Amino acid sequence: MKTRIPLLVTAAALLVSLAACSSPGTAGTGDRPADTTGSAPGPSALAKADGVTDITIWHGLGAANGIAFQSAIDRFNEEHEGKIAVKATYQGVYADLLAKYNAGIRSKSTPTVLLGGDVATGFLTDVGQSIPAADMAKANPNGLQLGDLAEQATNYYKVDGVQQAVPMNVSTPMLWVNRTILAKAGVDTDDLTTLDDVVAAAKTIKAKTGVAGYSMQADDWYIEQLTATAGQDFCLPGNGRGSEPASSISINSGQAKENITKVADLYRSGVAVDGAPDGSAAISAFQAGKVGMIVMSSGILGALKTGAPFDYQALPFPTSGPEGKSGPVIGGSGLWLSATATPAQQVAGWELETYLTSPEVQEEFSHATGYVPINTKTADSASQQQYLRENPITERFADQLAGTPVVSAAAGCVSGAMTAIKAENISQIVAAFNGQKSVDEALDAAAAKAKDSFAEYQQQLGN
Amino acid sequence: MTATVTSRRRPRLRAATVVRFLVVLVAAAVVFFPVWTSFVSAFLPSGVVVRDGVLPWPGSLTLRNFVAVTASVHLVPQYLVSVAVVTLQTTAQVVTGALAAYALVFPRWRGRALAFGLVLLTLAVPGESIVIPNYELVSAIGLRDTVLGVALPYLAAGYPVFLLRQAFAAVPTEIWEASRLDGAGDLRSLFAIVMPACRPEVTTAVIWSALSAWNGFFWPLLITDSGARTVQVGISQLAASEASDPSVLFAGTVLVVVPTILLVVLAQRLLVNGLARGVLH
Repeated sequence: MKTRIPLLVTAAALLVSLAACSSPGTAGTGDRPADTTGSAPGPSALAKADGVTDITIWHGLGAANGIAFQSAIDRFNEEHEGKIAVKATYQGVYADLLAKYNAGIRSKSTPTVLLGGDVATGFLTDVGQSIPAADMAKANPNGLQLGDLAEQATNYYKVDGVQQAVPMNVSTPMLWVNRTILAKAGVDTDDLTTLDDVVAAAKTIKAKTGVAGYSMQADDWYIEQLTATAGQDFCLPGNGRGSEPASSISINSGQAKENITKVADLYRSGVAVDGAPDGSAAISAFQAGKVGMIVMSSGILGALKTGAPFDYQALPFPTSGPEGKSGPVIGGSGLWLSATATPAQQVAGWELETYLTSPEVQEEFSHATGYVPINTKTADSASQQQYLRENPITERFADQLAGTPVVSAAAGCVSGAMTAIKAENISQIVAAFNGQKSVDEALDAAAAKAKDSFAEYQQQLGN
Repeated sequence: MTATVTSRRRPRLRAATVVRFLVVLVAAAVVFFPVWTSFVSAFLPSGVVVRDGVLPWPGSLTLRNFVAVTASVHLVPQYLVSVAVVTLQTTAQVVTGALAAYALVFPRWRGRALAFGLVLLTLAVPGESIVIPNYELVSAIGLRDTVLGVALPYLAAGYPVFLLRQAFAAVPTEIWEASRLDGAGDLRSLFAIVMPACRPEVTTAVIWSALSAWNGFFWPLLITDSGARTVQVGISQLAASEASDPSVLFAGTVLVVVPTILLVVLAQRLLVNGLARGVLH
């Protein structure tokens, strides 16, 4: 996968420049119906369509997540038989999916709906191949109600105040603890709310049990979390969400730098163990009882259920910033509706998005996958309440999402340059963690490279 | 005296043999280690795989992982597509490679060296750099999501041409001239005289082409949606970042690796036979 990142970045840059030359945002073939709002068609476009309207959706959900997703699609097709037929296709992990989408833009073969990874939000907005979700919601008042979705999740897909995509599957970073090891070390889980608490606990675990105290996936997402939970925007200005695009990152300054330094010290002193870029080493070490605490996504619950024969718990991601101004950034993916599909397909795609984010589907999908339901009405369901009582860990995911303030820091950075920046950041962070570079040196190098990447990306856009 | 010398040499020979044996054993263990890990882990529950660490032991065996693979992936149709792609791509690459190599070695014509240089140049072009133009071409001629579309850009490849050209160059020109004097045309000379003389190299070209066709991932993923998905693309769906089940991934890996291992084992016999029976060796 890593070997394809440079190619992907180059392809993305090329396509951004092409997109900058020709904006397809207003397209869509066929007559625009009377209830069209801006570029978004209303329900009559589908009502007037003859026969079955065929639409496609591309996604990157594999394993159990993919099975659960396909089963939701199958039910949608049953409910809309004779009117809408959806063909869902797995197109590889998010990087592969995006590469294929890029190729599809040029050959005009993009899907009606794309379930794209969160990191692609900036790029997908800039290439202008999608109708903003806000426009579709306005043109289809009886369909998806964006206000019903958790604001912490919708906020991620909002660029310059406009809702671009609809969150579908949302994960959140957690602090996973092995309660048996913590008990041996005399660490109380109630005392693990701040990053300083966690750092102290990790050292205690190592000193008293000999087992490593801490690990986390060597992925930039977690560095973003250490910044967001410090109440600091990862990208400047304003996480790239205002009228001005992101032009630098802030990890080499302020509380974010302090947080990363504290975590790096754990690795450099042997208190923490390497978690691997895909998190597999962190999960394996945790399951094998070789580490007391790991910072990982809520999505590992399924893996732990089958492979952790000890008492474990998920705690909120440790914070270090002011309450009400800091919190973790969501992960997962969002639904992007094609601007080049026919109006009937666009409305059919919007119906699909309405269905996939409905309280019932979100509840079922969440139980099958571990993703957090993003429709707030899911919480009203008796079966959901019963499920949460029986699965207190899952309840913590939902609580963390609901308790995250809707602020700039927790919204996360949005920029088409993020794919390249993430790859560079993590190589610098790993060098800092394993002692090849000083933390200052690594963070400054990451910040300098990021600045170049932002500038290059803007140049490709023609700005 | 002779007896004394012999008795002194024997222990030395034995010691050398033991050292050689140990070196080969260590090398074999290094090669066999990942194969062992994959195969054993494929039959173990996930929790056991994780706790066993790097060297799993076949204790509590289960077929659950293979059942999970078949539930997630449409294995049979994807296997059939992969077999079709491998057959088409390998046959085409070996045939075009042999034709090109023959033309580069036997008939004398101006620009032969330049043509061979251009073939060699293609080896320096990274496959991924031509993916987008290939995608546009295959899409434009309406072959997206078809077996032919998957194989089309790879019907000819530089490496088999290079390999066979080197092999054909070692065949004495007199044999080719004799076949031509006997009335054989170019095609007959190639397929009845030259290629059988180079069976080990032809076998190597077949193995190389078949393995690269079987192991292709990014291009088949890009050019197919669901109609002509290969098994490599299908198996990738077993991975779901942190939600992946390692045992199921190992089971998928085993299902993909078995055909390639069989191919190499069977082709190795051909290689040995070819070496033993080659008319010129």
